[in-house]
Amino acid sequence: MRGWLSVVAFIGVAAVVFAAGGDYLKFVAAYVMMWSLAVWGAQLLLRYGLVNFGIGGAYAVGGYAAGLLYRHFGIAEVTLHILTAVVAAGLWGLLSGVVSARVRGVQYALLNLALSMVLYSILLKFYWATGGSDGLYVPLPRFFDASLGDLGLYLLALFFATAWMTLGLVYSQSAAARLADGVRINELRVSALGAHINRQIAAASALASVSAGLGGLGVAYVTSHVSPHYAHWSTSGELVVAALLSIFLPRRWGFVAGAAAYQAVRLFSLQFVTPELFVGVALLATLGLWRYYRR
Amino acid sequence: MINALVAFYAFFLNLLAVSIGMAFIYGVARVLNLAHGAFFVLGGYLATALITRLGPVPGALATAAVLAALPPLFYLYVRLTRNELEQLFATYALLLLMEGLFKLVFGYGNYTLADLAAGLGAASVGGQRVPYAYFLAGVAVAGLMATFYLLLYKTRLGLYMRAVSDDREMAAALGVRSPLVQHLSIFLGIFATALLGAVAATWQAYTLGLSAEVLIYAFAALVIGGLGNIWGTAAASALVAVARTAVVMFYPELELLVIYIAVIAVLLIRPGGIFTRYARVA
Repeated sequence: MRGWLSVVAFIGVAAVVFAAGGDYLKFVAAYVMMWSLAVWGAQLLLRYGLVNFGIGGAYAVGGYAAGLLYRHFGIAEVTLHILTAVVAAGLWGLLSGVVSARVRGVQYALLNLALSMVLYSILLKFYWATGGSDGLYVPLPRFFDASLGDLGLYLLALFFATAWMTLGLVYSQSAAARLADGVRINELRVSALGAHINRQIAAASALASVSAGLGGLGVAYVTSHVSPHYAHWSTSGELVVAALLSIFLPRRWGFVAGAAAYQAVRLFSLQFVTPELFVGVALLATLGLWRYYRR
Repeated sequence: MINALVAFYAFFLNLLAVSIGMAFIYGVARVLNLAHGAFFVLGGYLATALITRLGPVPGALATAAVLAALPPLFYLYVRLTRNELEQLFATYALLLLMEGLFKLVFGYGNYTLADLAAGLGAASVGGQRVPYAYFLAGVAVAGLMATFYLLLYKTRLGLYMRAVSDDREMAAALGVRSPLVQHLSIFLGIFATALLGAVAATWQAYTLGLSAEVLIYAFAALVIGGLGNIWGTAAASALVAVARTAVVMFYPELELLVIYIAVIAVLLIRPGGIFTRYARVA
């Protein structure tokens, strides 16, 4: 398989971070690796030319899978959490993919934004089931009878990130990826060649949602908390921006690097009175640099 | 009943004020401006700060002067981007920048001219006190709509704008200087939005985080009305305002939800918007 070296190199970097880094760096690394899955989902849809401002919906579904299972049934088992998150987020993605099959461009972005905001309002208003704006506590997961410690969580994050990097390699060499590029460049022509575009997009939407859902689950684990803000459109906006950042980079590891770059800027900006200003300037600088080098 | 009507009226004016500029910018120039709400909010902040400091008339004039400088700046900013993705990226950055500047310059306070507006007195309509400022605001918004109508349907530039909105390439082929028309509509859209934001300060309080909220309302009205359709957008604003007011009256828990459900329903049934003559979804 082409590109396997980047997977090995990534595992090496993650191992060095764990061995040499302090507690905070390990926390950030785990957070970034989990979050990068959601970025992967946004990036997958961007490949079809679809800007999804509702990817946060799936991200929230994943996080709440763990939160609700623990709150209502006391389940902290990681395999059950993952299973539930995959099924629920997959269904959510399939639903939104089928529903938004007829629209493209701005309408697509807004339809998905509306879907995720419906989820947001439900999570916010039905506080007796979902904890309302406080969100839910997410415990450190257990794997059968053993509690996943910091190391376990880090390994889980590393496993997810490498698995998705590999999935990305497999995907980008598949027929589906060619079709995706075709859909982005000229949809009419691809459909004239015999492709079922809506089916492709629904499948991609389900895959992107599963990915974002697992990302949400992972971030909920790392931060021990899930809140309705996961489904808010500004979360989707962050994910889309990170995915756009990663478009500027090679596909193999772009999603992790884009996620890391965005989170690094965001975390660094928190020390200022106006973090937004710093993030905005950083984004503009990125755009400028990219323009300068890819003239 | 009067109560509900007043609530509807205020929300309708608000929605119309936000979305009409966006209809121009997206409809004619195809610029998806994520920072659109921030311009509305900037108008409100500036008007409040300047009018409370300088007094009504000089304050209003100073606001208008500052706001007039915005469109060229925004135009130069947007021109730097080459495609839709870059536009999205750049205007998202602009949204963050403007929010950061608001926090830096205006701080966390509530900015509103409602006190000043209340000083104008109130009319009694069916036993309910309705501030005169509401009527004034209504007149201002209606005046702007009338100006847009005259511009769009009675001038050559308006004809070109409608042509470019329908089909940019066809218009260009027939001799319209499409880029120029698009640039002008960006100017117009931004200026109108910021100005209406300033007018809206008489009934609305501006705080941090409002830019993103307002943006979504504008998007909703735009999509329901049909992209780039001024009258459709106005009608959609009325529809959304009716739905929201009714829900707030009878079942306030669903206040947030109803607008999104309306957007989903319209996009599913008529992806091109309710009021388009023919649907052309990208």
